[in-house]
Amino acid sequence: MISLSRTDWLGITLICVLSFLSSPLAASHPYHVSFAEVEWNPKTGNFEVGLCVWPADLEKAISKMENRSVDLDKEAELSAICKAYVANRFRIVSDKGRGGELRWVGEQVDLKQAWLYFEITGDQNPGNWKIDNRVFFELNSDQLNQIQVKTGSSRTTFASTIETKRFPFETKLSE
Amino acid sequence: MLLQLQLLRLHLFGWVLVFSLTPLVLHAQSGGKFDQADKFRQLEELLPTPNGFRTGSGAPGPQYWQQQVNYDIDVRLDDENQKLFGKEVITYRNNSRDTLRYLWLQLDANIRRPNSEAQLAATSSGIDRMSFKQLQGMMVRRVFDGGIDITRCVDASTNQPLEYTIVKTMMRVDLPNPLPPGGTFEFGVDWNYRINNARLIRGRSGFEYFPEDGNYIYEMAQWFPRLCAYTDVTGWQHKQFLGRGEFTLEMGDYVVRITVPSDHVVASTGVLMNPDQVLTVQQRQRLEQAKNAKEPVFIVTPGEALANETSTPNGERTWVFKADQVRDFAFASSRKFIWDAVQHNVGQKPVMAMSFYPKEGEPLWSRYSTHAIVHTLNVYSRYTFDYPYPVAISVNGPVGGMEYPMICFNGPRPEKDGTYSARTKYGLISVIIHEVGHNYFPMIVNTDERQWTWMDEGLNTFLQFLSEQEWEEGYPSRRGEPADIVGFMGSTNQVPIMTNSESLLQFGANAYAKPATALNILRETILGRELFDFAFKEYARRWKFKRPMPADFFRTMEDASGVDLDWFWRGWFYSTDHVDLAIAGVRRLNIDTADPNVEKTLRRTERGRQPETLSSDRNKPLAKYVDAFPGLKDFYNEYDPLDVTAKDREVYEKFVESLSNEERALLQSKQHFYLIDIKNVGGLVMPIILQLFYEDGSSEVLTYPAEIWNKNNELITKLIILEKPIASIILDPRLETADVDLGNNFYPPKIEKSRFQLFKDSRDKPNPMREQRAADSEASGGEGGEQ
Repeated sequence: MISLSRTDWLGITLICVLSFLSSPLAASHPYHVSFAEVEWNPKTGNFEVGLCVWPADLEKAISKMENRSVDLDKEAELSAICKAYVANRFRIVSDKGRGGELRWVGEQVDLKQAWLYFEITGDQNPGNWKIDNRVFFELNSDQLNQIQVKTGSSRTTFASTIETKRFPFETKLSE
Repeated sequence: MLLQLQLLRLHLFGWVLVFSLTPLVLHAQSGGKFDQADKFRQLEELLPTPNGFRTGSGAPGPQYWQQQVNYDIDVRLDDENQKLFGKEVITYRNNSRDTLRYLWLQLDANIRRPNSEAQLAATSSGIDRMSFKQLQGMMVRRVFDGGIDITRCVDASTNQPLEYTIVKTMMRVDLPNPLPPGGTFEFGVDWNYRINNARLIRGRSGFEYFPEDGNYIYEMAQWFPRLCAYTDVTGWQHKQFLGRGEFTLEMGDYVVRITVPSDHVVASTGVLMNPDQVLTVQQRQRLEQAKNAKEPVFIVTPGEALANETSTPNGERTWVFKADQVRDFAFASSRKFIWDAVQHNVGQKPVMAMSFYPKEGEPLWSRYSTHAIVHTLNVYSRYTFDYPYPVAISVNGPVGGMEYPMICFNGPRPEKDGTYSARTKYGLISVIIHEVGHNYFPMIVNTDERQWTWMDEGLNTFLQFLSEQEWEEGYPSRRGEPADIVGFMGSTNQVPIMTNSESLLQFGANAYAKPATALNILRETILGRELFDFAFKEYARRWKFKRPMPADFFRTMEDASGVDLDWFWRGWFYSTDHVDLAIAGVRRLNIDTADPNVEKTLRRTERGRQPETLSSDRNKPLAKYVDAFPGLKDFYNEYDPLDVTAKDREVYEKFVESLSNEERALLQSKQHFYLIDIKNVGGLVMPIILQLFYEDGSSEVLTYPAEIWNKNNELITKLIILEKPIASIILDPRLETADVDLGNNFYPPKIEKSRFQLFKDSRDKPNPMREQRAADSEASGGEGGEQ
């Protein structure tokens, strides 16, 4: 569960949400996607993540989180602020409660796209995990976060939306 | 020349394998039957049968028809209560061959009823937290009724009420008498509805309230009951308006009288018919200046707009607009508008390019908006047809980006202090290019948006990419480059482009980015610019002011280019395959010269390269029995089959004597033969583009058409003959094909590193951009926005 302490967020129950959140009435032309490459590194046991987002979305989301206008190009503590945002919205946890700590590696932000790189601690032994990517759900009801998970020699793609956002997968060693 | 193949043998010089040596099985077989999918199967079985309305060449047929619907409308904007009151007379001409007993109209505002199908059909997220604004919007939507009230519907000739039935966002009007082919029916409809606050209930239309000065901007669209399209393909297109699939409309002529508070400025589809009544003398003079200006001039200056914000209206004024051959009509109204304009000739035809925006849009809007309109008209007209309308308008208000004939609504604004980031700047230019560009698709090439989103969004996004790249060098276009779509293409949860709008998964990528990229690939890599541009222009020309369907596009592009593209449409539009070609093996072969001096030496070299087994190596130092008794050694202990014998030389000389001069020259040539295996991992067939790097340091690019896959679309082997030996090969060196896995595109193979690893490896290296930014920031004291 995402836990935010910002004052502009309300915790409300599922009952209140009903069917209204994912209104299709949003203006049609901007569409909202992100793409994540996740690879399990059996040597370290960690998940190595490259997350590609539309920088305008990132700027908007961070501005909202910080409750001020943020310009990514001029932000002195860009890594810290990106990490704070992503840590709340991108999770990989095992069903046995292992791992899950996010370690920031860096970011490449240009006009066209922003790549965010980070590791999430895992386990060197193969096991069962759940991945959860909720970036920009607070901005866009039509947000679609595509996640490609590579573990061993297999690749799987998940599409995380407000409606479907947690995906189980298995880590395994290459054959 | 006939080669004596039994003599001119090629032999493997050495196996040089990439991943594994793939045996040359040319046909995947199951039970002895060829069971590959036929990627080149003709599309005829999928496309509708050509007829008199639409020909097999993709052009409108001799019997093509479309309905004509003209509107005469009076509309009043109630700025006190944010309501719209309208009264229209619709003239419907039945050009079909069918007799109609009823007409269907669209009541799009009914999507804003609390119990609309769009609301009820929207599914729940299960999200457990939401922002105040989202919650506020949700609560407002529960109680706000923005549905349309029809207060009158009459036969215009008799003034008698007409029977009508409202079915959610559609309304059926029953005709008093059947309307025969060629017949015309006139009827009147009166209506009103509450306008939505577009910041809370988002959509393509609505108002924005500015609490600082107490004023509103209205962007009005889908605001009048208008006819559904009746077509040869679908009959009535009355799929409900659910919010995503846009509009399917008829062409017609409009006269619209818009009554607003006297101090409002109105921007609208069409030409202003009564400037003397609604514009000041000075404004009219400035519009005259704009006709000969090189850059936009203010019709309403920022200072005048600011003064207007505190004015009190002196009653109302009616602005009259006339628009011919449009499929829809939209307008915007506010006392906050700054207005700039410049006349620009497209072909021989003058077009007034204009922008309307509040001070909140400055300084971004006066700098870029009208210029972006002019640029769009120039580029799009070059690839399609000359812009046929007299005005082209961009308006800033609450709507993020939406297109209508001659007018569009665009959202980006700078920060409150007037600074803006590069992203906001390019975001604004891109959205204006995109929305103005929609004048061509679907406003003029009048496609069925409710059914086929890609036909307008895909084609428009493609032209947007071309226009952006002509705005400035290195423009940061979001969509268009093949490499930008590989993430989507490789994903598993996809549907084909040829899927109805409301059912599209990954709507954006499928309707916008994938078709736009496909067209870019078709232009750059498959057809080439000349053929593609000719065919694309022909499609636009054929269907200007008409209603094409997907088959008309596919057929025209083939008809005009002269190239069978069925495999391309099948792969890119009808399947979810992706491009992933792999170099599966490279083998080098040499001509067998038959010269024992050459061949036996070669074989000896090869033998020398064979690894010595472990046992053989360890056995070497052991004393051998025959060494102790040399008499045991005979001929065979010294014999080497690779020694050149007198017999070998004699055979060779006889062979050479038997050859003609040409054959002898060929035998002595120093050609290098390579067998290159390419595997189609992703399923989508594409041309094979190989960059060969030779041992002498030079390189060359060889391109083979997609038809190379037409007998076997899983694995092919290409024999290439070269003057010099290859050192390395790259498949798709310029990232033309949207190949999703570049890790298998190299010979010799490269170890594939993830993007994460590449970044991690490079992050300690100097970053010139960051250093420059730090230096700039230091020089400017670390303050201020981009100007």
